Amino acid sequence: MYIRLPVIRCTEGPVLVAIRKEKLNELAKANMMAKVLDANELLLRWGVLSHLTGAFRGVKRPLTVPDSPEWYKPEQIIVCSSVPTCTPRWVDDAPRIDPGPLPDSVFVTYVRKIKDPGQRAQIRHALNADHALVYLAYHWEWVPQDPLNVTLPKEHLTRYDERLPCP
Amino acid sequence: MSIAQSDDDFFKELYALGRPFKPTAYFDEEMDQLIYVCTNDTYRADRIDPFLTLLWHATDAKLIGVKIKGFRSIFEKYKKCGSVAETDFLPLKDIITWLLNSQVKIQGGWGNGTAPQLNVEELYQEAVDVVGKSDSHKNVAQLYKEAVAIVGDYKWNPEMRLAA
Repeated sequence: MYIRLPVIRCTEGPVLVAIRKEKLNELAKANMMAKVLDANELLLRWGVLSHLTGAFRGVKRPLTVPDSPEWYKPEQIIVCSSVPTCTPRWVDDAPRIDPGPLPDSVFVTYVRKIKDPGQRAQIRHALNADHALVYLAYHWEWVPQDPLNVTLPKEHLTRYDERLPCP
Repeated sequence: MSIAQSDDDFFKELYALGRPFKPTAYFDEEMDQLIYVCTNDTYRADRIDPFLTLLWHATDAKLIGVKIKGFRSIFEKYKKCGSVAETDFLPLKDIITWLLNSQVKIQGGWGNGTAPQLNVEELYQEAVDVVGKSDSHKNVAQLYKEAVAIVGDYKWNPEMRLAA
């Protein structure tokens, strides 16, 4: 099962972005409530992916997933940056929303374009959508901002393979 | 019931699973990374190199965790030159020290398959002496040392993984 996230404004056209409920469920079982809270408040409610400040393809790090297709490789990961107007925090075993973004930071979401026809059809069916482009969000976190361009991640010129056009 | 309400209910159910926090680590199979945190508050992830990212507290400038990237292959290589079995609980400090070891022995590259040297103080000194000709190398070695300190004696349970 999937949750539908607010749509990315993409030069390729409207896309469907989803997140697996099972992943959120497992994060909660691992007691990673800050991650779950970020997914709800920033990915879903605030819509970080519909407020992009930058997008990049390819992360320079090892990433091996056995029996995974080509599009699973680190070169195919797309990193979306955004500057939300709030900072969710899980403090004293409860959610809290602080106003404003986390200082000196941008929020990044790691997504992959789903190229497997079966999985793409499954996500479309689950979310009752017919978008041509389907992406899944896999990871999200705050990272330090670039001091010269405060809406982008630090070292964005060297840590990703390429910058993507971002309307 | 609308989709939005349904999502609200879903997250409420997840929040209800929250419990008093203690340091924990989980392996995210889809991203091939292991994340260790010692608090459940928001963190800022600061990349050190392709393998290690340090997780800093949102507001206190305090180290609260680490992210080890490419963990699957690191674990496999570590097993080949160590004594850990698939089912053993894994001391994270040994993995981080082994990573530093790999980069000291083969600058910026991978371990050579020899038995890992697991004394982080000696390794740090070696990193500074051998490859630490520049401040940036020294800083990286220092950050690995801090990563070892923050994980302490924590042992990762291989069952703690998010399935792909």
